[in-house]
Amino acid sequence: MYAKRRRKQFFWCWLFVLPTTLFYAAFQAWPILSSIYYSTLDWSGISSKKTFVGLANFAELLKDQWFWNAFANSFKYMVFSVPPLIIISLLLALIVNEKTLRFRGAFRTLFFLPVITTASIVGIIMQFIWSPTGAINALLDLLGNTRAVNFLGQAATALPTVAFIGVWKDVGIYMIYWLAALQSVPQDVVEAAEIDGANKWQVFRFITLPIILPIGAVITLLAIINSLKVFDIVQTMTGGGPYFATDVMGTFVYRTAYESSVGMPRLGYASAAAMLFGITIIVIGVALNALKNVISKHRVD
Amino acid sequence: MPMKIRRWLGKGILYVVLVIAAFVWMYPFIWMITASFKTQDEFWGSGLNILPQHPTFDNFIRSWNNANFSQYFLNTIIVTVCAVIIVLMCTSAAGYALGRYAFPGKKVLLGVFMASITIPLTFTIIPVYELLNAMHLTNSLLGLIIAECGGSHILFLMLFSSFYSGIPKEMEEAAIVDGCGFFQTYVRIMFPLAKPIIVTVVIMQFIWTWNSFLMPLVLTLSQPNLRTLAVGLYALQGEHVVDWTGIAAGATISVLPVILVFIAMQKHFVNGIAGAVKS
Amino acid sequence: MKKLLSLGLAAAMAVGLAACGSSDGSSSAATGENSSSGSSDGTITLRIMDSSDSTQERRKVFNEEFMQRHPEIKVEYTMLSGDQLTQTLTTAIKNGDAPDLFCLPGGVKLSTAVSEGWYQPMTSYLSQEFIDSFTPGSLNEGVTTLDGEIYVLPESANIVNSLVYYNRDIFEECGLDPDNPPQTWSEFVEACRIITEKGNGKYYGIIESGGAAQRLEIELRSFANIAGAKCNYYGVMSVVDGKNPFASDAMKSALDIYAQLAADGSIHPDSINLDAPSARAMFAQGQAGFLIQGSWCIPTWRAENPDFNFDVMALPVPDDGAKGGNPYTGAQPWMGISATCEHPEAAALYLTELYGTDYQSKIVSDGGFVSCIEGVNESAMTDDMMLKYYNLAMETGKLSPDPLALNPETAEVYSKVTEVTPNLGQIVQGVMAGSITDTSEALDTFSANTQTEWDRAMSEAGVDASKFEFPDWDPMVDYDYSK
Repeated sequence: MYAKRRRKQFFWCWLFVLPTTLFYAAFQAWPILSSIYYSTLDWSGISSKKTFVGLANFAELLKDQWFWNAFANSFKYMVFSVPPLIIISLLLALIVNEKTLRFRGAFRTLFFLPVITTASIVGIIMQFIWSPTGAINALLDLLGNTRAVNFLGQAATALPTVAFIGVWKDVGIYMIYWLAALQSVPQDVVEAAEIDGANKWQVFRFITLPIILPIGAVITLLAIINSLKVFDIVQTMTGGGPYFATDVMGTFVYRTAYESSVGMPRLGYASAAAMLFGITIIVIGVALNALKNVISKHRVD
Repeated sequence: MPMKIRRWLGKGILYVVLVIAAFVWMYPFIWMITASFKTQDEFWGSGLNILPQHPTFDNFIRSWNNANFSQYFLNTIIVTVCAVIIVLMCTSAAGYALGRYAFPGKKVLLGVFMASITIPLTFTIIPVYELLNAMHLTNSLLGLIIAECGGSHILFLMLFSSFYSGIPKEMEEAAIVDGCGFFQTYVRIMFPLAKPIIVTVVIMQFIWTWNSFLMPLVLTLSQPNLRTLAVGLYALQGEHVVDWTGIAAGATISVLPVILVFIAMQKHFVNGIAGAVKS
Repeated sequence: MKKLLSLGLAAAMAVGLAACGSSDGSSSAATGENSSSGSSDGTITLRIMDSSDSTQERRKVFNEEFMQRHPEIKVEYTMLSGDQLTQTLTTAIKNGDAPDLFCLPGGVKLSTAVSEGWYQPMTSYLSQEFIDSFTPGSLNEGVTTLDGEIYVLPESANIVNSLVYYNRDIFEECGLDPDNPPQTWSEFVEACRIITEKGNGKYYGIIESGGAAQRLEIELRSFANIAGAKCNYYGVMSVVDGKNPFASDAMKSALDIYAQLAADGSIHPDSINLDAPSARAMFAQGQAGFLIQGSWCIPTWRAENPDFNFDVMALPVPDDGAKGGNPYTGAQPWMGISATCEHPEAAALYLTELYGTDYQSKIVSDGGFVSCIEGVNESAMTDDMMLKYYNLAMETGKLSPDPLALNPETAEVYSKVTEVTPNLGQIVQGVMAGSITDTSEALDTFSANTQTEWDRAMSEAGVDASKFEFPDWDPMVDYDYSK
């Protein structure tokens, strides 16, 4: 009887995950499998001439300093963008979730607007804002710094600046995710705590945070992975420049797959780069997970 | 009394800070809107100034015609609405099964899902096209809808799954006592509870599909009448000639439905759902 | 909530129905659609795709008029540029869904396209009169033609696309003579310095499209070729004395111009990330004294900045005089008829009218465009600035030898060779950003890497380096293709 119920349950579970799995298989797994195949080819992606080269692309990648440059930049971008992204978006979500806040619908909408501002326009207005003759430098000038900083034009500042712009553009999205998470905080418990004299911080620290932590972990993990795969905002702002200073994996792969000043582009090589990068992230993720388990086990002991 | 004044003052400061922050935050958006009333010369010449000196409607007329708005609007709505509904149904159901039940293959499935999102695929159009072509689904709106549903939805999945896993057992036990099976429990009790996640999925999927460019372009190659707004707008951006004010005007028109959807949906982020869960 | 739920259920049913629909082989979804060409009412659909952004408006009008003249033909035109064009076209072609007429994506050589079966020969659909209307040198074996069969036509006559525009008002403000612009590198660098100094942050010496590596490479090669580097035009492999010309003194001295301009602070600081259209727009706002670009700027400024007081001059030459011309190659391949096109006569008819003097005259008179049809430029080019550009281009531009046209077997090498990173344009960007300080070493490294790659590609293709070398090439004069 019990076994039969379980089997029925398994059937329903699989039925429920089936549509998503099918979409996944067709539009995620299949392209990835194709890319694995491409990564073993010397292929431009344009002509039908494909030569199987085994792991030669990977061997070449290991020696390609521009691949490793993009690799390092992707992680730098993550370090610059994820902490502010998570913190600012959570803070905003907490504020615009406050039911005593008037016009909160308006505030939610306003902070969401960067998400839907068209990329090519963003590229130009950000140039106006961050240019050595632009708004930020005018502000710095008022504060006494007279030497104009070319934020997007010099290697040292370009990546943090692009990361900042990326945060600006994406905060609205993560605000929405946090808002969704915050809806599972029971209001009666919050109200009871407030009646007992708990302040906002205490309510957040001891009631809200523990409840949203599991979803928060997922949101943060996704933010990390998305930041490692960043493409659009970098392509719009700098295209990877100046001189590869903001060249992240997304732009490296795209350029390799589609652009070439002489001869044909290299889709095979680009696929290999994407694979190698993805595999590295998985390995790091698994290693961190293992480390976490070891540490928590240690603590228990 | 002083307590009240302090609170009132605190509130006041919060509003002032919020209004200033929101204004700075949305400035580029305002600039985009007003730029669609500027001439090309003013677009570049006026820097960060918002107000157009000689407001013109030419940009709207031009981009409306160029981007085939009248023709592409309906396509965009059909594709977006269908994609949103399908994605919502699929990810919610899968998230429910993954979040609330243990079943054989679950761990493998989750592992594969998570692993695959680490790969930066900025060039996967070829295999996707080949697949849809083999299924005879290119050059049709159905194919486009299916392709738009195929994006990576791991986050939606995880949001649903951790939401459903947080709902107390008593909820469904009560349903089972009432004679509800697996499916009915989900449809009647669980799905309606997931309102905040549903709102999130609707907003995000709506934006993605609405703005999607390359997929609709490649999939409607033989059927330009099936194209979407984002594809139409692209015609304004050439290699040598870029019609920036036209782009701004087109963006202004096409962003309106997105804002309306956002305003309508965000209302549903209201506290108290979890309270209902508890009772 | 109930609404959401019922909506969901309705959707689930719709999906179910749709799935049934597709399982019996019909692919039609929510909208009624008819198959692409040759539909029941007897009309022919011509699908056309290219990247001609500058002539887009004229083309739309042309298409409308064409359809009025030929009601049996329906034209569906799509303009796409750069990567999007390449991606879309190649995906479609591979899956048998190619447009009827499409342009060759950038970087792809005709021989590759033909051996891939993209195009069908069009000679038999063209009248001799039509073929004769092209100016001599427009249709070349290896470039537009293979084994005597025409596969693609050139869009326009190629002229030099890196001359120097300057802002006359800024010249006067800075005490420079706008009628007597700098002619040598030193004068040019000095003028940039003066303008930057006088501008004091309001304007700079020169604005570059530093985000477009291709533009930077074109400029660098032009400067270097004038100094005698024999480096040829962008994308062309050229061998001098058995090796690539990129480590030559001429090349290095050309790159040093950028190093000098950067050191002087004469380059507009926004330049690094700009694309060409943005640089052009900012130049028209009076933000810089000089801009190096092609003739397509002129009509844009005329339309958008009617008060802009600009002028055009030749690219400056080394202080000890020019040792070569501004390099350019002959007309480039553009549009051909797809191998899968079912109505090549209709496609040929479209081409015949597209190259008719009527349409060609219109786009020439708009400015920025130089026709490859005999007699059109002489009568239709009326804008004085465009004429000045054209004359300067013809005077200082020198036709360089294109290995592809002279030794068609070199196409095999082009299909094997891959890019060396950083490429020349990226090196210029590095110099402008201050990331590269030793320009000489950067070029030596680039040259050595390029040599390795070229040697590999040449030996794989079985084509000797001598096929890329033209000892009789005097860069001071047009290369004689008739030999």
